[in-house]
Amino acid sequence: MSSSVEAITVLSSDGDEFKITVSAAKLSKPLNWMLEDVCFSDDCDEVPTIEVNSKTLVKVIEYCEKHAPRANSGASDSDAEELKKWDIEFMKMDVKDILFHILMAANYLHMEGLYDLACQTAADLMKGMTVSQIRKIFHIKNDFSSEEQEQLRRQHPGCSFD
Amino acid sequence: MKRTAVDSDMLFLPHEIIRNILKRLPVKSLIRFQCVCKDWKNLIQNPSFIADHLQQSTHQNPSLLLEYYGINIPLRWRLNLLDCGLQVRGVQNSPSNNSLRNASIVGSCSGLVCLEIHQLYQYPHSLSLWNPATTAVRHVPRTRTDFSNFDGCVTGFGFSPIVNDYKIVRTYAEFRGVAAKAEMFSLNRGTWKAIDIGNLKGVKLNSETVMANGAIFWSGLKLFGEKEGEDNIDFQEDEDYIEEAEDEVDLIVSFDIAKEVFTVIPWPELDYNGDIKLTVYENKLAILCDIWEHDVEIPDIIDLWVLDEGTCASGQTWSWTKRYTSSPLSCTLDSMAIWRNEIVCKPHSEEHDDKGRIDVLYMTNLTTNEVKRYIIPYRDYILRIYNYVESLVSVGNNYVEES
Repeated sequence: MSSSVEAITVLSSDGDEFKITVSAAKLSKPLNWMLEDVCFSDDCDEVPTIEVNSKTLVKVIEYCEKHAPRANSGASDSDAEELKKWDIEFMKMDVKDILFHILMAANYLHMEGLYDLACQTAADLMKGMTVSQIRKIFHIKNDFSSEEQEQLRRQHPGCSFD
Repeated sequence: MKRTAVDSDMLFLPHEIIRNILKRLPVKSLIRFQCVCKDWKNLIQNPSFIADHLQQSTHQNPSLLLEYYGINIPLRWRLNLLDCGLQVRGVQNSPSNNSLRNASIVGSCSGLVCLEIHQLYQYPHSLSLWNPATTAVRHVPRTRTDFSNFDGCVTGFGFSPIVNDYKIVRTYAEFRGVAAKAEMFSLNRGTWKAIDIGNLKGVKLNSETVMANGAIFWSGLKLFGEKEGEDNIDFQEDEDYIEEAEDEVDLIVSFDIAKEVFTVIPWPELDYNGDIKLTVYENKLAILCDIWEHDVEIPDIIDLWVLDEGTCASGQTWSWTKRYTSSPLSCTLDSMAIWRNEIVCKPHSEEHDDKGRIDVLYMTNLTTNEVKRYIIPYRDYILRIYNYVESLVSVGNNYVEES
C-alpha cells in the first residue's frame, strides 16, 4: 500500500462508488485487511466491494469518518462528550428501514463501537413496544398454541400477547 | 449485482444480534417479550443469557435500593429504587407489602435481595430471597437450630460467580455476642448446613454486611476476656465488669462464598476517630470514615480506605490504602455507600422546606470532588441504601426442608 494514499474507493453491494479515508477504514478489521491486501496506487483498477447497500454504507462511512480522529489519537473528555451527543443524533433513524441494516453492517465489518451503539439504540426503541409491534418489525410469527399462551400468562402475570 | 441479506427488504437479524439487543432490555420488557415466539422465550429463559443480561445490567444501570421506615403510624417498611438517571420510583410487590409484617434487607447482590421478615414472637427472623424485578419470592426454610441456646444472630448474603450460587450465612451468638455457631443456606442446594466457625472464636460481629469479590464482609470485635467462648458460667451480674475490663480489637471478618471459610482480617491503622461505614469500591471491600472534630470551626471530611487482598508464601496478605479524601464539607454528612464513583451520604441533621422535612441525598464525586444535593420526592426517613441491579435471575422454585 502506498503511503501517499489517504482515501480509498470502495463499491457498495448496489455497485455505487464511495470514498473512505484510510484512517476511517481502520475502524473496521475487514476493511483494514483489505487495505493491506489490495493495491491502492492511483493506477490500480481494482475497487473492492463491501457487501453493504449504498444507503447503509453512507451512514457507516459517516460514522467512521467522525470517530476516526478519536480512535487513532485518543481524545479529551470534552471531545468524548461531544462525540456522545453526535452518536445520539446520528442514531435517530427508522428501525426497520435503516437501523437493522446498520446492525448487520457493523457486525459484518467488525465495528465494535458502532455495533454496540446500534444494539443499544434498538433496545431503547424496543423496550416500550408491545409484543405485536415486535413481531411486526422482526417478521416473527406467533408460534405458541393457545394452551402455551395460557401457561405463560399464568407463570408471568406481566406477559401479554397483544 | 449481488444481493445479500443486508439489502433484502425482508431483513432477518441473526440470533447473535437479537441476543445482543435483548440483553440490554429492562426485565419488564423481557418478561413481556417471552410471548413473541418460542425462540425468544427459550433465549430469555436461558441461564447463559440471564448471566449476560445481569452483567450488562450491572455495567449499564447500577441502581440503589433506598430502605425506609415510614414516619407515619403504623410504622411501615418501604423501599424505593433510585436508578442511573436519578429517577426514584416505588418498589412494588415486595414480600411484606401486603401485610402488617415488617422487614429489613440483609443484603442485595447480583439481582437478588435477601430479606428478614419480622414477625412477633418469631426469632430469629424468617428469611426470604426476592427478585424485585421479576417480583419472584422464595421463602427460605427455617433451620432446626434451637435458638433458646443463643443470644442473637447476624446474617449475611452474597453471590459467588465461581460456584454460581447465592448463599446466606447466619452466625449465632452466645453470651457477650460472641459467635458460637454458623449455618449456611445455598440457593442451588436449597438446604442449610453447618459451617465451621474456625477463626471466629471470641469474635463479635456487627449486623451490617457488604458483599465484594465473592465474599461477605462484616466489621467486628475480638474480645479478649478472661472467659472465652464456651464456658458455661453465669455472667449475668458481671456486665459492668466485662465492659470495663475487656480489651477489644476492631477487625473485619470475611466469608468466602465459594470456599465457605471465615477469615479474620486486620482493621486499617486509622490515626483518628470517625464514623465508619463498610462499602465496596472497585469490587473490593472499602470503608468510608466520616471524620469530624468537636471544634465546629473545623470542617468535616470523608476518607475512603480500600482493602487489597493478596497471597504470599506464608498465606494471605492484606493491605489498606487510603484512596480518597474529600474536600472539606460544608455540612455534616453521614456516608452510606459508594455508587457509580460517588459517595452517597445523607445529611446528619434533618433538612426542611416550607412543608416540613425533606429527604435529601448528597453525592460526592470521587474524581471531581464535586458535591451534589438531590431531593428525593418522599418525606420519609432513608435508613439504609443498597447497591442493586435488576436481573432475571431465578429464586428457584422448590426447596426441601433439611431433615
